[in-house]
This record gives sequence, structure tokens and C-alpha cells, in this order.
Amino acid sequence: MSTKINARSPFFIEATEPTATLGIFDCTTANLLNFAVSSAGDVTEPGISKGVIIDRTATSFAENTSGSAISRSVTYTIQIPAGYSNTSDGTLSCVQTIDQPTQSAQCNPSTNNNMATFSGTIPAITNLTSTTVNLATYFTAGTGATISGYSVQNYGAAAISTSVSGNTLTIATNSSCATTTLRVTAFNSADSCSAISNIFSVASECSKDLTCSITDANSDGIFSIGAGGAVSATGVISKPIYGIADFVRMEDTSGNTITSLPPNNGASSQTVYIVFVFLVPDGYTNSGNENELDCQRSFTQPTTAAPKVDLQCSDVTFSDFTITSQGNIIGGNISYLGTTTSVATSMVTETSAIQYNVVSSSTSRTISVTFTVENTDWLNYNSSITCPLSLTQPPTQNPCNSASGTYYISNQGFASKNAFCDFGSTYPITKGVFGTPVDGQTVCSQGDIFIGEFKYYAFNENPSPSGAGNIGASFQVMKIDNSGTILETRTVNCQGDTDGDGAI
Amino acid sequence: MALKSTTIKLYIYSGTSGNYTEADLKYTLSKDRISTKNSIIVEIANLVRDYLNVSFNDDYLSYTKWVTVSQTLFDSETGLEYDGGRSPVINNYLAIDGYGYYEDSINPQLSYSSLYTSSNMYLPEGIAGKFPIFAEGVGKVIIDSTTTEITDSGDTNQKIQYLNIPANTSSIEVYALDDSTLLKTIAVTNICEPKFTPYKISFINKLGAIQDVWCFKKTTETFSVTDEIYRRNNISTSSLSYNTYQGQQQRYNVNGVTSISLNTGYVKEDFNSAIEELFLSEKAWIRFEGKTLPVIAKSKSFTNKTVLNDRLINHTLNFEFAFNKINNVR
Repeated sequence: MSTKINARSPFFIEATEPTATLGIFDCTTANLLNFAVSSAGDVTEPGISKGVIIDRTATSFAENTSGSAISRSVTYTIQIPAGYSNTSDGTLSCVQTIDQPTQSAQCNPSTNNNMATFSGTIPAITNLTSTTVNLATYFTAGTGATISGYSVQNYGAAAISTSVSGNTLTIATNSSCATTTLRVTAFNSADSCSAISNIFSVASECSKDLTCSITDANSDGIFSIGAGGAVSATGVISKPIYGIADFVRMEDTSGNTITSLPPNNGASSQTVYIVFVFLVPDGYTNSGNENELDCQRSFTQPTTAAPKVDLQCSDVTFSDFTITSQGNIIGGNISYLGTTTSVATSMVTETSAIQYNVVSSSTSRTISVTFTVENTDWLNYNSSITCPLSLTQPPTQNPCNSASGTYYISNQGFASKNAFCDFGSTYPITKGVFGTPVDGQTVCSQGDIFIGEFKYYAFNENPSPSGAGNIGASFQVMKIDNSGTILETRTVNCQGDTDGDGAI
Repeated sequence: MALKSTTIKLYIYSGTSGNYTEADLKYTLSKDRISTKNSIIVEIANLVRDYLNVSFNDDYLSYTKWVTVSQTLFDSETGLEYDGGRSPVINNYLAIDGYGYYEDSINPQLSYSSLYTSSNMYLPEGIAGKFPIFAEGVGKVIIDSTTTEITDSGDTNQKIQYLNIPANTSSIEVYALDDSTLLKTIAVTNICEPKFTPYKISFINKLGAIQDVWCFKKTTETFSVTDEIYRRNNISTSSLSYNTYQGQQQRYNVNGVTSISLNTGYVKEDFNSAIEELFLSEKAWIRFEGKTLPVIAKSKSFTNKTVLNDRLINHTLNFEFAFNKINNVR
């Protein structure tokens, strides 16, 4: 049943620290050990390391007098314990197979007078609280030996206990609605041959119907059948948990016996219905002559199609993305399963800018590329995802892109440095440029190189309206070529150049 | 190792459970664990209800939504999401426009079978009715001797199913999924009302389904008007006079609202629950003059009537039509 949100009332969800999963519970985890079938057909229930055996397909086989071993298999239904990833499946079926040995000549009661013999039928016991069975009534010692002891195989509820003292089998329970089946084996004092009883059922008092409801618990906490169960995408059925009734078979809703369902090859999960048929044990008011109880359960069968998942950045290949030496981000191809190319809707720097500053040496960058998932095979189809992408920004080719430092040069240049002194003129130094005023450095103006035409320009750290020429003091000039490179710097003083020829 | 925080994504969608896309992502919530607590608790019903828009035009549709809650869990030790398949934790819920009473406790689950709380239904003689069930929990319904097998496709559009109750039916039996456990029996009483015109009130009940209540007895329709007055100057300055046929006061913004008072006729004590839910419903409609019209319950108090106190039980229901008499819809 779905958990309902009755939306007019508050509905709280709780996030708790997840527990480490124990993985998938399988038959290896259950680790059934020491399963055995005696020549007489007596099944020795296997021990189990994890989980609880709640049902088996056989508790005995026919005596093997064929002269050769017979392969015997019993399918045990195991309740999956809590903590496993498939706990919600409820149960797991594990098959145990072993050769049933043929009866040895030694253990043939007609020739071995040490062997005890069993006669009669131990009757079913109902309304159990505590009762005793005189085993001597049913087992008779052989003429050559005495009965050395008995063992009891309990094929059902642990709530029913058994003990043997002498020839007295005591069966007791403190629980109501508990059922089991028992079998007694008698051993003789002379050899290893044994005799076995019939299998008989035992049930405690239970004045109610056995139902399919998992909420129908009695005061002893013994639940009736129904919780858990699952159907895999391929149609494998895991039976629900049951602790009282005997499972008989599975049916579809039309009453046909089934062991599995067809795989769900559709595009999405589907609801399927299975009827689990159980035998109502003695003790329940609705038990009777092989009375069956049909429990219909619905399951969500997942699809065999690959489940849709969100497209992750790790699923995506980015190609041809670059950062130019100018710091511009150039988009490339975005490819992932189902779509060969996709276009970035946004590319930004670590600071969400659309462009990097230029650099003088190669620099590692991580841009964020946002794009829309364009293939319906992905769960996050038609939504945007943002992925980091590492790129390298090359150094700039224009030295003025990384130029720093400001100074000023004269607006006017001369082919000769002394021409500043002609005609008694003074010249302003007010044109701001970038760079460092030393030989070999580049003069930059407005982000680009200053084309100096191999002329001399006066320069100064600060602007000056009459910083060069006949100013009565020294000033500095620099010669700038057409690549903006400073070829030389000189100090000029115009004092003495009175004729205006430029010679000081 | 402890839980640090969680990011919760709420996907709200129609269709089948788990079949959602990123377009169905309606809310993303983040919350840190309070250091003194072991878990993080978030209330989501109000958020979910924004997407449950129940409407009704005598059509009895299933208004439910799947809600998939994806909890991404972060470890306080590493600051990272838990690995090993432990995160995200995904759970599916089915949202219904119902509510629980205080005594229904936290996260009320309520009925998974019949979505009709009382055990009696009253229908006019010769008139068919509707009976709401929750498809997940019902195997079959026997209406008189006719069996209807219920199947659940998992789709939200049929989670609430409205079974047709033929005219003059006498009983409805709702069975569990095993088809043998009788969960509820509803006695249907067919009322012959030769004098008054029965009216059908439909409302969203406690369990989130549309439920009908027929009112068989006396109906009183009233009408109240609202208006405003302003005083005006009607002097003609050119002739220095005024017309006596022009009022000094002028009425404007006139409109009216119709109210209707209905009587259920005699019903059993058990029917109190239906009336109670009708009073608590936020949405109700009346089938009136061939149209389904929205109404608002005007009665603000409810007396739980008993046979001992009241002998024969009749409920009087007062409603106001949820619209103005004069169409001023703009």
C-alpha cells in the first residue's frame, strides 16, 4: 500500500543517518549447512548462519531401498533479516540437494534385530499448552538391543518446544496460534541404524481465523501471513514473509498456477498481482480439510529497460573548448550518450565573469559550462546542468594587455632629442601611457602599442603642461620605435641653445 | 559519523509511481541537523497541497498526485554525500486532499478501502449515486448482488474510484484485496420525496474524495444585497436650479449574494460524520438548476445530534453561493 499524504494535515518526513547496508542477502549469505537425507527418508534440516527458515518443500522422502543413491532436493524459504538491501523482498528460496543413500543391508529391519521399529501413527495435537507422548507406545526395541534414545525434528515454530526424557516426549508452548510439524527418530544401543515416526502436526490454541492481514497479530506477536515480497524486472517472484501457514503455490488472478511472471519489457514499471495460496494449519478457526487461504498481493514490477538516471557531468565529453590569450572563452562541443553535440547556454569563469584578464604566462582555469540535456534517455531531460571544465589560458600576444604602470609623454615628438630646445618653446607632457619608462620596455596607449615613428618624446612621471623644452631645467626624453619599444632614454637641458639649431 | 544535513527534492506528478522527470521537481529543500537531534524533520504537506487542485463539475475524477521524496544525505565527518548506495534515500507517497483528526495522530493514514466514513447513504428514489473507494485496498465491491472487481493500474487518475450506485440500490459491501474479508457495509436508503425538491451537495470529505449528501426537505433561498451611497451636487449652475426628479443621494456598487438553507430530512445518527466533514470542507458544490455551482458553508457550528437527545435527526445546512448575483467577474 502506498503511504498517503493527507495534504490538509501536516506530513513529516525524517532524514536519519543511513546505516551501512549489509549488501544483498543470498543463499551464500544464508549459508545452509549439514542438510541431509537419511536412507529412511528422514530430512535433517540444515543449520543456517543468517536468516530464518520459514518453510520447506519437503520434510521427508520415501525410504530408499533402490540399491543406489537418489538425488533429493528441498527448497527452503528463508526470511531475509533486516539490514540487507533486499530485506523488503521478504523471503529468499534456497535449494539444498544431496544424495539420499540407499538403505544399507545393516539397517534393514528385517535382517537387523538391533533396530527399533515404529508402528501406528502419532496423532495430530491441537490446543497445545503442554502435553506428553509416550514414545514406547509407538517404538519397539529390536530383540538384539535396547532403544538408546530419541531425537525430535521440529519443522516449524520455535515457539513450540520439545524435550525427551526416557520414553516420554514433552511438547509445550506458551504461545497461542503456534503450529509446527514434528518427527521422532529412535536410535538403538548396538549400531547406528534408526527408526523414524510419522510426521505429525502440533498446534496451540487459536480461536481466530488465519487471515492475510499483516496487522492481524495476536498477543504473542505472531503475525499471520503477508508482509514483504517482490517481483523483479525479469519476473522472479520473492514470496512474502509468512510464519504460520504452509505455502502451497502461487497463482495469477485467473487461478492459474505460476512460478514466475513474464519480464516487464515495457518502458516503465507496472503493477502486477499474485495470489499466494497457503494451507491453514490446525488450530485456526478457519482450518479444515486442507483448507486453503488465498492472499492476493500487488507488486510493482520494475522495467527491464535501463532505469533513467540523471545525466551527470562525468557522463559528458567536452571538446574544442578554449580560452584565448585575450581571456575570452570559446565554446566547443558537448557530447553524451544519446546526443552527439549540444551547445553551451552559459560559460563563465570562477567568479561568474564571462572573460578572464589576460596573463603573461600560461594559467590553469576552471570554467563552468551550462547546457540543456537534450536527450530523453536521461531523467533530467530538458533541464540545465552545469559542469566544471579545466582549461589553460595562454599568455597574451599583445604586451600592452598586461602592461602596468602609468607615466606621461609629450604630445609631440621630434626626430632629434634636441629639437625640444628649438625656438625657445616649451612642450606639454600630458599624454598618459602605460608601461615602464626604461629601455626595451613597451609604451602602451589605450590598450595598444604606441607607434613612436622612431621619434623622441619627453616623458615624466606626472603630467606637466610645460614639462619639456626651454623650461630652465633638465627633462627626460625617450626614443620610441613603431613597435612601441623604447630604444633609448636621455636627459636634455635646453640651456645654451639660443640659436635654435638644436646644438647645445 | 553523523548526519550533517540533507537536501530534499520533492517531485510531484501524475501517472504511476516513480515515473517522474526533472520537470516534475517542484521543491528543493535543504536543512542542517540540529546538533542536539539525531535526525532532520521536514513538513511537506503544505508544499504538496499546492499541486492538488481539486475541482468538480459533477464529473467525479480522481485527484491524487504521486510525491517522490529524494533525500540526499551528507556526512558530518566528510561533508560529502554518504556513499555505498546509502544516499539518496528515495520514497514515494500518494498525496490526497484529505485530513486527519487530532486523535488520528501524526501522519494520518486513514482508510485504504472505502472513502466514505458513515455507514448510511441516502439517495432519492430512482436516482443513481456515486461511492468513492481507494483502489489500492479494495478487491471487490458488491452492490446488492452485483460484484464489481476493483483493479488498480497504479495511475493517479484511478487511485480514487467512484463506483456507480444504481438507482434503488439497498446495500454496498466493500471487500479487501483477498476478496473475502468484508471491510465495510453501507446501507442505502432510497427516499421518496413527493413534496420538496431534493438537492445534492457534493464536497471533499475527510478522506480526500468527493462525497454527496442529498437534502430532501424544505429549502429556503434568500438573497442579501450590498450597496454604497454617495451624495451628489445636482445644481445646474447655468440656471441656478436643480431637477427635483434627480436624487441628492446616488446608489452604486450594488450586488447581491444568494444563500440557501437546506434540510437533510431524517437521517441516522451515523450520518453525523458526513455532516461534520461537510462543515469542515473547503470546497463544496450544489447541483442547482442543472448546473454545478460552488457554495460556501455558512453554518459555523455543528451539533452532534443523537436519537436520545433529538429523537428524529434532521440537519439544517446553510450555504452561500460562492459568487455574486450580478456578474462582475473581471
